[in-house]
Amino acid sequence: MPAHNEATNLPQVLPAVRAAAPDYDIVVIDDGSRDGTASIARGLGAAVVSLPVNLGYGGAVQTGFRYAVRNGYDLSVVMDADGQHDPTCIQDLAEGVLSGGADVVTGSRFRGMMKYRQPWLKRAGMAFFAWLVSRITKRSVTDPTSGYQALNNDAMRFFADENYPVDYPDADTLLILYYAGFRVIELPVTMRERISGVSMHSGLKPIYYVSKMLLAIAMVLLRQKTHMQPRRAVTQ
Amino acid sequence: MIPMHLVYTMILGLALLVFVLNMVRTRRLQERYALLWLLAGLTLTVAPLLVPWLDQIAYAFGFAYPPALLLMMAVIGLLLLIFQLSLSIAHGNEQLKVLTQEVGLLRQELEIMKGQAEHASGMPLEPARASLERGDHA
Repeated sequence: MPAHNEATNLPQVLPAVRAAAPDYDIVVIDDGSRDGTASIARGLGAAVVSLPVNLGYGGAVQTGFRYAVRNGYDLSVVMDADGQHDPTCIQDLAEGVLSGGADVVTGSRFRGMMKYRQPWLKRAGMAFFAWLVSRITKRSVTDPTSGYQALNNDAMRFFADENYPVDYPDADTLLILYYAGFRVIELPVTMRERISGVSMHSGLKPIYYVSKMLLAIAMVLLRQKTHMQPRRAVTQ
Repeated sequence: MIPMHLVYTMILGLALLVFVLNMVRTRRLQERYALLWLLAGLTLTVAPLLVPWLDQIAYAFGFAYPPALLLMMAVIGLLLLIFQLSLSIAHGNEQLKVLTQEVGLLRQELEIMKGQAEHASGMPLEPARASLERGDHA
């Protein structure tokens, strides 16, 4: 669970996660917070990895993968610390991986419940990239920007070394997974408005976002053509 | 006799060369970042001597105004320099990310080991823990 200045949300979020998934270990990646996120998470019984400087979402999530790989976990569920991701969906996502049906399960707010509104422009952008990824992977993808995911050990190791975006996992990440030979499926989840504070997506420049994502996707496709794509490690 | 404005250019070039070389000598600039700057200094120093040839080359390439060739070369050189900086920033960021993650993970492991050591010895290891807590808020 990546967390940047989430001290006000954690006292609600962590007990809810604990209740929904009692047999899971909770790891909070404190991404250079300045509001005591680390000590509050520790006080609520979570393991805490404190990054000395703020790396951003992708860097924090990748730290979590490295932690999980190092400590020999078979499964990890990534979720936001701001209360957007309904913890009752953890078991569903995990079941998708544990059943062996997929290496990565992403939670889609568009298949499930989205209890908040988004600007139409952002929705249009997300719908476009969802369509693009669905077309390329020949699978129905509705929510490529979802940060609510469950991964098995192979996928965690793939992301722990490299192959994980610095800012946010997005459509390009799904393509990288697809070309690397991972099976990705989507399951419905519930997403709510964050409890308090400003979302990391606020103030995002749509033009910058769209061109960056187009460039990233073009690069993934080009790497595939030129055989530069990272492959899934073969495990016995 | 070389015209005065060309002498000034040569002096500027020589000054740049001396400045960059001195930066390398005092270890404030690494050799690999100095190379392109040295090339710039060398160009500034030598270019005035090559002005007649430059004019010929410029006309041969169809420049109506020969100094435009010089400007174009200068812009290309600067773009190269800036691109090298972008590359090194990207590289540095990647290393910084890995180091940051590693520091966070090691600190967490250290805290667990400290907890186990305290548990085993029955004695709190206060000073070290205090410094770790300070680290959280740094």
